[in-house]
Amino acid sequence: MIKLVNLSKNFGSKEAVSNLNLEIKDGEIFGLLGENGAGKTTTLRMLATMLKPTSGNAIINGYDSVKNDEKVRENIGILFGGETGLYDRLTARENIEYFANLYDMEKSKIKKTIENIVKIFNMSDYIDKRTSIFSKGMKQKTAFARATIHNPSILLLDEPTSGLDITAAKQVHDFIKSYKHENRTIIFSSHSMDEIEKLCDRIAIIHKGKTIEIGTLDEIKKKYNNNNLSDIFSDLISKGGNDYEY
Amino acid sequence: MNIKHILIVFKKEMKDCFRDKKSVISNILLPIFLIPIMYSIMNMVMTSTTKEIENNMKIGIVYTQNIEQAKSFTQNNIVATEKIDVLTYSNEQDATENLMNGNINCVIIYPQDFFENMQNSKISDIKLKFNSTKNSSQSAIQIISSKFAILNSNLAAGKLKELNIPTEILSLITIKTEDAHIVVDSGENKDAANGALIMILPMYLGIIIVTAGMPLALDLFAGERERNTFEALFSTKAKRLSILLGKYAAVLVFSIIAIFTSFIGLILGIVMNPEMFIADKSETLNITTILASLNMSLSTLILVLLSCITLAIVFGGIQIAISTYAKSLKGAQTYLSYITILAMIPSFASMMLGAGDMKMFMSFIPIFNTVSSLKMTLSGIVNNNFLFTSIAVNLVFSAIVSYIVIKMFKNEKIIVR
Repeated sequence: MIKLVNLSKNFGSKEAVSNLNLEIKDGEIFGLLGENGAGKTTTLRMLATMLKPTSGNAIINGYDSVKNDEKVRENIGILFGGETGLYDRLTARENIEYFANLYDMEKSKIKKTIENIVKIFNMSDYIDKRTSIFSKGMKQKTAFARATIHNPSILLLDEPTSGLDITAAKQVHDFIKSYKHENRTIIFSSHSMDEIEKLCDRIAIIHKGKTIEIGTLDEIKKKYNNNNLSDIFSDLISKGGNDYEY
Repeated sequence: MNIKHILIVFKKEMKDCFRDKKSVISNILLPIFLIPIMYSIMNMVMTSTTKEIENNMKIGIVYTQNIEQAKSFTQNNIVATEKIDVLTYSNEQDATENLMNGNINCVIIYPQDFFENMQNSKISDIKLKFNSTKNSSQSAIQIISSKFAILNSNLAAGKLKELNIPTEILSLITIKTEDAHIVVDSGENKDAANGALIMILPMYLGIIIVTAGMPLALDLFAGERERNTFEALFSTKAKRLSILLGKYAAVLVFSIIAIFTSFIGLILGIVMNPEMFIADKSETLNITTILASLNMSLSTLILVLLSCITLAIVFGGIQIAISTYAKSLKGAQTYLSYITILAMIPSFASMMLGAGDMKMFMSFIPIFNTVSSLKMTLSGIVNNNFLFTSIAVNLVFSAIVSYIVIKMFKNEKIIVR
């Protein structure tokens, strides 16, 4: 479970995230919806322990993101950006193994997990080839394998389909769905309404670092008496949004 | 900090680096081949230029009276070889024009009463003209001047003989120079090899130490940011300090390998072209004499190596700091090029000083202190105070640079952009 309590982050005088309060349950796909610069990536970076909150707390599976950062990292997997960077001169297997080693996994377990991943993602043809020659789809699969090699219960995805073609984006969607079936939590940031509607159980609309709406898609559509999420989003953004009271 | 994580990062970076053909070829393999090839080409050009001058030299003579007599005198007494052509001119202006056009390499202008003066043992003023913008003309004037000097001394000797005076009075004082600092038991070869090494090796190694780690520092930090791999790496269990130290170690090992291969290339270049490095042809310069000249005591060798390694740590750290701070790979390359130019200044400055001219305060100047330590040690001057101070100063700078890099690596404003 993830709990954000008054989570805030300032960059100098700029308030990137302001008093964010959220509770995300196990097995939930939670969408962060917002324009560019709304604070989605900053929020995910705080959850991933890359940034320290200016105030407030992020509790991930019972661990505080500042006090128990190492434990938090054990519990999460991240994939930031559509074409997530891989080491071009290493093979897909070496890329995955490198991260597995940094998660202190045992060699025999790494071998077994990679074998399993190769079967699930159908990577047997290119697992031992250097990633420099990979297509976007192949790279994406390798990046997912790398992010989940240590079997995290939470996956943080920041616009994972940005820059991908339709086929590669569909692979990402399939993967997210399969991950949810294993009762894992996914926080998913996007500015694509389609993607959000297709995948998310609940969403939070963020604007200028503040939560302006939160709920299931049905709840939100019902509240604003509108079936079109894009319209609801545009209206809320243009009004500047009211701070959502958690 | 976790040693296991440091090693994992280090091994990965070394594997990644050695798969980068461009980096391995340009920084490790190329110096071994390029330096000897470069020296060989330079040697070839120099040798062929000298031979061309020797075989195709043309001199002009100007004499207003019997020009044929002057030509015959020049051919028999000055030139004394068929390889040099002697061309005659009736006036100085014609000869000068031909000299400027490159038709002749120099001009001898005999005074009107030259032969009469010779007969009466009177002094004659001969004018030699050359073109300072042409190397061939400069070489020609040196050859002709030395030939006149020989003629002068032969004429004087002949005259003394006529007067029954011993010719030894021409050289009443003979000079024998001896270098006081050369240790006798190290053998003659030491001086021969040192001449070449002292001139080039310290400055060359100084520049290599400062620049060798650059490609890897760029790739491992600015490159990592550009590939978007930093965030994934920081989300693992490894602490930032472990990741930094693993990468730092990789940059250092890469630098040391590059320094070593450059050193091999330099030695090969010297061995393959000994004539470029020794003035006295009786001296020998081969791999044995070079190694013999490096035959310093183990403790001195360790101190010199420590000085080089600590300097590599300082500059590896500076490169990492710049590469980490830069927003892009291109930005990092630009910043590092400025640093390299600044760092080269002390290396070149050390060339201007002799090994015995080094003062204690110079050991406090990074780069300069290591280059000077090398220069002094190769010259046979073992100054332990200078060596220890240099290492201590480099260590202090290493600590400062490492502290800054660690701070930067932990600073989310710099790392997460």
